[in-house]
Amino acid sequence: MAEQSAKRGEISLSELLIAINDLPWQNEEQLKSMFHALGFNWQNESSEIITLDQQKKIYDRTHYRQKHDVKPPKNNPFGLSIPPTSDPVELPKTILSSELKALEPLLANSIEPDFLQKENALLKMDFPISKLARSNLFPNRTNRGILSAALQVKTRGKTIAISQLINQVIKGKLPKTMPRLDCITLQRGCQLLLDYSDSMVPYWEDLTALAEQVQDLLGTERVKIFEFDQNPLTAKQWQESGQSTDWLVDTSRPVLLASQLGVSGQRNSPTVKTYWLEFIRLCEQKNVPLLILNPWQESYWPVNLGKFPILIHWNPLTTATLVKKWIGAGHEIN
Amino acid sequence: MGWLNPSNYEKELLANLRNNLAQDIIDLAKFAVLTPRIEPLLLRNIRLEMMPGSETELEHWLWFSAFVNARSTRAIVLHQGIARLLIGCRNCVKLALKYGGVNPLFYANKKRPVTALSFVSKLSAL
Repeated sequence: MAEQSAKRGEISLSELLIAINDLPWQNEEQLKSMFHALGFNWQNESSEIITLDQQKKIYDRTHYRQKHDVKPPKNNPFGLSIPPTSDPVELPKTILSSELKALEPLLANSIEPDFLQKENALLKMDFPISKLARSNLFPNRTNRGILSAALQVKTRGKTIAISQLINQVIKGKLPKTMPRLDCITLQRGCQLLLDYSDSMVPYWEDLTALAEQVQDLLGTERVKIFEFDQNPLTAKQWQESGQSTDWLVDTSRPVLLASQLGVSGQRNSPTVKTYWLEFIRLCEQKNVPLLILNPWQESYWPVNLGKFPILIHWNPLTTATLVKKWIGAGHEIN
Repeated sequence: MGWLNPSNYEKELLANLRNNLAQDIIDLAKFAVLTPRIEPLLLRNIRLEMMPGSETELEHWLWFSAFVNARSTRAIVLHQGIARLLIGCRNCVKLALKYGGVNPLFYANKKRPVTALSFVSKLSAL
């Protein structure tokens, strides 16, 4: 038994020679197809030989560094001269035909595809947005005390002032109305004016927080929130419908205003603009208590405000005791 | 965090700011440059955590200072080249201690949201 030189299934050159010898091929095409059938390459042409000159040309790096040095013109400064224009590219003259077909309108009774009917877990997933806690200028633990001390108003209470009543009876004067003791209340609510000007941008979130704090304390219906940009006389109350109501003096409730009064960073006796003075005079004439929360410390406060407005430092260090000291037992409103 | 190489303009700017601004504003900027984008919320937290007892207007000073490269109603972006000049991790820890701020090493072991504080905590461990 003769030894098999090639493994079973392999086609070597000997098989090609046997095939050439056995098969009755007539022309070169048939011979070529036999070569291809047995997996051999038909190479009738001589392979390209790379000459020595070509090798040098390929590895010649200087070949690619042929750049034309562009020198700026002497008259115009570099960068301002008109760049060279390239020749415009000719557009093809023939217009290609295109067929745009209008989509068929959706049928009224069409069925939704399966992927819409299936429950999409991704759509239903709730990604909780964790917001960092913000330390407000009036901290959560002290804001109720400060604001209630600032906004409390004196009114006639229900308790009868017995000592007053006895005094009047002794003098023989019967009172027309029963004398009653004063009490302090927050029922009047307040007008809250917030300064959303550019200089207050770092404190915008504090303004929003202040509005929430005042509403939590007094109740939403007792607080009227107005916004303004620099000039408090142009304050407006915006409603959900997009309509606005101009601010008017309300003599039945105090005004709480948060602003830096347009004075940012002037230490040497800063003064406010005239519209601030007009606003203060208006409140003073109507006897409406005006409280101004200012995030700047006292050395930056304006000097020409007069004694009427009560300025409160809008700062975490401010306490209810300090505010009571400035304001007293409560505002007296007609 | 911006670790861009400072440009000549930024070097000059910082030199001017060092001469003209109060030291506490520059110190607040040292904490603030740890993050490229600073919202009012972050600025407040940085100030209170690192410089408790500092005045509220410090936020205004930094917000409208020349440290700021871009400013909107939502956030500020400081000059990033200045970050490299201003920040030094050891100085940052020392500064926090100087202003009576919390010891960053104390918070390094606690899981807290990503704030400048946690950046400092990580830096302090280097």
